[in-house]
Amino acid sequence: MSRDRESDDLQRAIIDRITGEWAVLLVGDREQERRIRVDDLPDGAKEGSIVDVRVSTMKVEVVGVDDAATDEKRAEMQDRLSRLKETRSSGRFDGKKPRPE
Amino acid sequence: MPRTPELSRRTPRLRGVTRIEQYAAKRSVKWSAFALLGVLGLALLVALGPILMLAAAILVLVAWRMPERIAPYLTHRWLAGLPSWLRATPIRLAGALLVLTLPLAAANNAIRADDGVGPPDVGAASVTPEVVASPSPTESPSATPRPTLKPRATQRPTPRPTPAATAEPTPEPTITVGAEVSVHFLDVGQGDATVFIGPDVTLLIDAGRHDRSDVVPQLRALGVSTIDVVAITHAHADHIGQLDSVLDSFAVREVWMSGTPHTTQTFDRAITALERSTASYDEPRAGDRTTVGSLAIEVLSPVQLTGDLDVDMLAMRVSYRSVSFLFTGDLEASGESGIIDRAGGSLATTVYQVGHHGSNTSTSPGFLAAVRPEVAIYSASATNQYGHPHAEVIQRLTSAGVEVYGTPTHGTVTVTTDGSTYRVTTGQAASPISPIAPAPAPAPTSPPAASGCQPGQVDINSAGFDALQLIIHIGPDRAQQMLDLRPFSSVDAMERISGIGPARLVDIKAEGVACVP
Repeated sequence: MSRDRESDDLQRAIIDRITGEWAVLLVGDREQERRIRVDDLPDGAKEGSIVDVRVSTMKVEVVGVDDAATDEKRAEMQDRLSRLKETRSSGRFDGKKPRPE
Repeated sequence: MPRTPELSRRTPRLRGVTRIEQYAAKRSVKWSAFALLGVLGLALLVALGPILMLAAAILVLVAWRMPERIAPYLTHRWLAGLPSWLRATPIRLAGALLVLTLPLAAANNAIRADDGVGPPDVGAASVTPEVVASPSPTESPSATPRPTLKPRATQRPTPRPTPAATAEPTPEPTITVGAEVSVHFLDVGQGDATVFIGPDVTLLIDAGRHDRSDVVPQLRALGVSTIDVVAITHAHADHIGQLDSVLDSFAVREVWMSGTPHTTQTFDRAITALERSTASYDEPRAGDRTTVGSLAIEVLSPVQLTGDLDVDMLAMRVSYRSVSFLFTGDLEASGESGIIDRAGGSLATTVYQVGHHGSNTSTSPGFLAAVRPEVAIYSASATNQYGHPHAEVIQRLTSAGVEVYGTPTHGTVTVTTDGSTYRVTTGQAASPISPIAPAPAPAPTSPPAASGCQPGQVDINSAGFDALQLIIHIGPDRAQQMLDLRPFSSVDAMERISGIGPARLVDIKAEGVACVP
């Protein structure tokens, strides 16, 4: 649903983390940090969500959540991590599995 | 005269030398003249270079503007057969290329000049903890002896031979007797980065914020060149932020992460740097134990991944003999209770990095009771907008008798240990946060003194310039500010004073002198 209005001030952002009542957004290519209240996030926006934001000096408004892009990015990063784990493990933690539960 | 073959073979060379010498002598040429010739040649080259370039540029400009003037000279058969506009093209192209090379060459020179200067390290010099560990110069009225040397508390059962049902024997690290390990809780603003440096080990836990570049210079200033392990507690940008530049700047042997991915570019950059590095990559799980040099490491979290970065926290306890350090990243209370359950009563730790920058989401009373640290250190920025560290967390720690340090107040905090004793040194001279007043001050337990002023207290809304300075952390400057900022609705409102942050506010409230009627 993301980009129904392609206005100039619309930017991509990612919700990096949620800290207490604040959501920390990384906005644009330079990943500038901006905060907005968790209550002001649209439904479905959560940590890791790739969103569209309208940015002014005073405030940031999340106008859309791009679930498809979010899922795609997460899957890509998961793949790359899995590949690293398969090919680059030191073996240091292998063979000891006294893991509780 | 019979000559030996060797001699005859050597003769031509000898003769050659002699001839030059003779020539020089005959023409009375001094050897310095040759040097002069060399210098002249070089000067000619330097002078001629730009002139030639300029000539070429002018030629090209002419060709560019008026290709038809040049075209008649191109008599080559196939070239002459081409239409005139096409004949001009190669000339134009060549010209464009030549003109392009000029600024490129200039840029190249500029870049090389920059490289030579090596700018990024300059700012780092000021952060070297060794420099600042010297005794406090002016500040801190309550002068606590700064580098405190303390024996490891004995009333506590040594955590090492864990009674927990893990049949797995802990790998024993090799320890050089008498060697010291220093643990630097780096001042990296509102983020985390802690480095262990020992004679046989360098271990980095977290890599600072994505929007700063202070981790590499600080590590360099500490003399780090190779890193055995970089462990990242989780992928938030204030913990994994500069992993990419750490990987690009140092020889890193191993990287450990929980394995839960993030979608940010910061995370992508970190993984890209990891992919192009030669470091190995592992995802430790709760219950794993290992050694890195003389450090013993117990992984406390995660048990298994849930996909939630706040839950899938890589938490670990790092021990050098009987002095231990606990890192839980941003783990929240529920995660902490998981660790308590799994630890089976063996969670006691000497130094605790206060979870989540001192947020009240973490360091739950139960966890604190299980960890029973002697020293707690939080990493945050003085101007952070989250209120970190939260006053209740500091209160909880100090009333448990824990000595609390924080990077906003103390700069980089360094714990140096030989494995049985340790001392704490700070980048900025200041007493530990909350020297928990043994006197029955009204402040610590009662909610912030909004409950009226007692005799002996200072009413921050009516006291004079001098009386205000009876309050801890308030000197002439801040007293003046207070006069300007009045009225204050509560003691907490003193945070409006520039230089009074959450940590100092805790001191003020613990002291119990400031009050609002």
